[in-house]
Parts: sequence; structure tokens; C-alpha cells
Amino acid sequence: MHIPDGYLSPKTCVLFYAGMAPVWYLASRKASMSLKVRQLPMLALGAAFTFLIMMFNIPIPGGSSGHMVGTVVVSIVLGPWAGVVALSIALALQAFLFADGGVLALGANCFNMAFLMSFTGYYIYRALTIGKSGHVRRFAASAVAGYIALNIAAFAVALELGVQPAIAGTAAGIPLYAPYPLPVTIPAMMLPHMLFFGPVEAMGTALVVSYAVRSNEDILYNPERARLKPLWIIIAVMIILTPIGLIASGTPWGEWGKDEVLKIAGFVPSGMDRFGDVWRGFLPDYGMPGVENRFASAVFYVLSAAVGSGAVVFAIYLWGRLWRR
Amino acid sequence: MAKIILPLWFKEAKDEPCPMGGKLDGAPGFIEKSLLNIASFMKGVLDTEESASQRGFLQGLDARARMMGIFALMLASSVTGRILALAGILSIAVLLAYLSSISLLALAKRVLPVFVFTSVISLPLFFMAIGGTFELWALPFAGLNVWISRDGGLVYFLFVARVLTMASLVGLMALTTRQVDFFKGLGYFMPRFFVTALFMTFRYLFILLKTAEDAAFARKSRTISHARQKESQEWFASRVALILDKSVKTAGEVALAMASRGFTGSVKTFGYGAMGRKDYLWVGLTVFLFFLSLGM
Repeated sequence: MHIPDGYLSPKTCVLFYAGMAPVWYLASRKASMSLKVRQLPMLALGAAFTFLIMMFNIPIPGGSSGHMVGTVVVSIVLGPWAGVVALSIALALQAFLFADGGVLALGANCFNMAFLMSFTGYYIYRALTIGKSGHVRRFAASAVAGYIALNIAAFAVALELGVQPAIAGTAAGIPLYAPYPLPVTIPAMMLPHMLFFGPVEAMGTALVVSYAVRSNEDILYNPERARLKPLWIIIAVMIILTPIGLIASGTPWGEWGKDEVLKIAGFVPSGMDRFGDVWRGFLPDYGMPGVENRFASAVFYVLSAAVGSGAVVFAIYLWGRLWRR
Repeated sequence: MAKIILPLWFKEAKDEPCPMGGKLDGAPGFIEKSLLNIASFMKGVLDTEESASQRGFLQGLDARARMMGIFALMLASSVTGRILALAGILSIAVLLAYLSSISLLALAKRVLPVFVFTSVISLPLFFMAIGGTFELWALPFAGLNVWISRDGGLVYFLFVARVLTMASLVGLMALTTRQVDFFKGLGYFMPRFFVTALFMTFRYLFILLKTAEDAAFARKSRTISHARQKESQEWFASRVALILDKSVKTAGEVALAMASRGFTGSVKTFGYGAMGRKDYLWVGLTVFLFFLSLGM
């Protein structure tokens, strides 16, 4: 998963360093608030633990062994922000002192393994352990979180490598860095991670978190109740701004109706012809059928966004109530 | 009293260790692999300290200047699109290694994994149409003509040369910089908080490694038969969880120790000395090479 130097173009490296700079700043501020004076030694030990976990081999079926990244373990125990800092420190040590992963590519590696893995793993675990979760649910949640987080990071690596021929090549189309395009990098990264490394990460994460909780129930990160007002404000602003999407002309790629498919391909597939209009939805195309006026379309667009967001929040609320005892 | 059945090999007096932990064919098991990883890491650190303490050109530079210069050469390797320019920078890296008394073998050991990996995964490029064209070269091999893609071959050599050059420069930086100087040099580029955290991480890593190593040896010394996979996995998880718990508790104790010695959360370090004429000359030369590479 560590991207070596030479695989990413300089502008990609700069972009990721620039993107990670505010993340690092925010992460160190958030870690400071949650860990207080313990922050420095806790982050250092968390980073040392991450480094160590990558050296340990896990026995797997077949008599062989593999090793895990451990990001999700650290983020579940220390919290996602502290996990970002701890992982970034471990990756920086690996890059500078042991040439494991590039120095120029450190921003991208931190984005994939410290940021993406930490947050996706942590929030998947939290979502699946809402309410009073027993040992089995915690085990399963850790496994799922570890598996999905690793594969998301692997997908990000595949994207970063796969776009290099398009964004960094000569005028004649000769790639100057990672030479394979997306149709090659995505299966090359995803297949081994989904079939082998993902299950190893899932198993290791589940086992370690289970044992850690058994030995010390208070070891897991327990955030203070977060203020939700900023989040509601952001959602409200985004709902109000949704009509901006109406400025774009044409239909998004792949979301064609029968008319568009007929124009593109010259025929309509029989399945699409038969089932294409079976379900139109409550607000088809995020609007009201028969409404042509631009202002009215924008109003119904905002209404669709509000209805959709409300439905998602309600579903998550129901999920939380289901598990709460 | 229950009857105790001993395995046959236990009854025979032999010098070699008992056949446990590994596969039946003698291949290393997961404990051995973990111990090998730990031992290889420790050896790498010790070798690095030894080479960084030798007298040499790069070792004689200020840590900040050394890192800035090598960073400039890495940027030069990254921006250039010419194999010749990369070959030039690689030659400079080899020359610097010679002037710094760093053996090419030690440098090659650092570079070899990523070089071999990159060379192997890039092999299909020889048979790919790059940039929409498929101009072929005929290479005589064993009396036959082997047809390879011209552009694919060029991309292969450019990519491998770039990775090799950049890995060599990073290896050179690691082999000529003592870890104390390394953290001191990084302090010029990063917030002090992160540098101190890096420094502490490096220290605590050895404490946790010792715990992991002791746990692995304890297991190894008490094993007389192949363990079931589930049991091995449970052992792994319990040891890692123990180390995690120890890390969290140690962090609390260290924080109290730091607080009792006046630590309030802000980090103060000694100031860095001024750079000499040689350091500025080195930085100037490497930055010049970087600007030169922009035009290539």
C-alpha cells in the first residue's frame, strides 16, 4: 500500500501535501483537546504501536502468514483524529529512516492510510456498534470496519496511480510516472486487497480489538457528545445550493434514459425497454412531472434534496433506536 | 496419574531446536517471521547508525543542509522527463556514496526491494501500445527476433530509472544521517511538536519491540508441537492487545513523569547552530541542479 517515490507526479505529491496540511493541523488540535497533556506520549506510543503491528505476522489459513496495517485498531482506541497523527508519524518514520514508502509521496500515503482508513474504519465501527453492543457485534463491527477501510484505501491508491498517465505525460501521450491507466490499476489493486489483504486486516483488527476490550473495557475511545448544530447548518446550506446542479446541461454519464440510449447506441436494450419505466419514484428526476418553469423546478429540486436528506437521517435514527436498549 | 505421551523427537537427544511453530517442511512459521522482521529492523537501525557516524562528505554537512540538498536532488529526479538526466543524478548519488564512505552494497540493499518490484510489475509495458501507437522494435534473442513496443520500452526504462534514482537518494539520506541529527534537521521544516513526537516514537518503538520479541521467544520456548491455527491467532491477538494496553498505560505514566518535570504541553528545544560555507555551497549546487532539470 505504500506508494514509493517516482510513481506519482510532482503536482500530485504537492496536491496531497497541500491537502494533508490542514488535516494534520486539525488533527493535532483535535487530539490535543481529547488527549490533553497525555497527547504527546500517547501519539508517540500510538505511532510506535502502529509501526510494530506492521512487523507482526498473523497466521492465516494455508499455513502462511500475512501482516496488517493496524490503522483501524489505532483509530478505534485513540479516536480518528489522534489516529491520523499517530499513523502519519509512523509513515514519516518509515519513509525517512527506512525508505518504506516515498518521501515525496508521503502526503499521498498519509492521505490513504492515515486519513481515509482512520475515518472510514472508525465511523463504520461506531455505526455498527450503536447502543449496548456485545462481544459478537463488536467483533463483527471491527472486522467489517477493517476490511472496508483497507479496501477504500486500496481503491484510492489505484485511482492515484491510474490517473498519472492522463495527467502527467508528454504531448505524445507517453506516461512519465506510474504507467498503467485506471482499467489496469483498479483490478490490480482491488483483487488482492479484497481477496487476501482485506480478510487479513479484518481478522487482525477484530481479534486485537476484542482482546483489548476484554483486558481493559475503558481502552476504547469515547468521544464527548459532539455539537451537531454546525453539521445541520452545513446540510441546510448544501440543500439550498442544490439547484446549482441545474445549470449543467445534458445527462450525467451512465444515467441515460431510453431516448438518450437510442441516440447513443441506435437501439434500446430489451430489458431497459421493458423495465425502464416500472418505477418512476415520488419525485422523478428530482422534480414534479409537468412542471416546466425554471423557478418552480429549482424549488422542487430543493424539496427533493430536503426529502432525501430527511429520509437518510430518519433511517439512521431508526437504526440507532433499533440497537439502543 | 494420567499417562503422558511424548513425541518421538523429544526422546532423541539432538542439538537442533524442536520442530515447532513452523510448517512440516521446515519453512518459518509466523513467530519466526515476526522475529525475523524485528531482528532485521534492529540490524537496519544499527547499520544505519554505524554508517552515519563515519567520516565522509555528507556526514560532515549540517543535517538541515544535507536534507535540503538531497531533497532538491529528489525534486530534480521527479520533474525531469529524460533518462539521461536521471542517469546523471544517479551518478551523482553514487559519487556522493563513495565520498561519504558508504558501500554500494549497503545502498543497494536499501534500494533493491523497490527496484526489483518496479522492474517486475513494469515488464508488461514492453508489449503495450503507449500513446496510441504500437511501433515495434525487433531484438535478436537466441537466434529469434523478439518484437517489443518501442514506446513501451522507453516508458519502462524511464520509470525504473526514476524510481531507482529517487530510492538511492532516500537511501543515501538515511545512511548518512544519525537519527538524532535527522530529527534535529527535520525541525527546520516541521512544527516542533511533530518532530518531538517523531523522536519519542523512535524511542518507544524499541521498548515495544523488546516486549514483542520477549513474547515471541516465550511462546517459542514453550512450544513442543504444532499449534492449531485458531490458537496461534488467539495468541497473536492477545499479545498485540497486551502491547496496546501497555502502550496506553505507559503513555499515561510518561505524561505524569513529563508533567512532574515541568512539561505543560509546549515543546522547547535547543536552538540550531548556523550553517557553514560548505553547507550553503552544497545547497546552492543541488538547487542549481534542480533548476537545470526543469528545462529537461
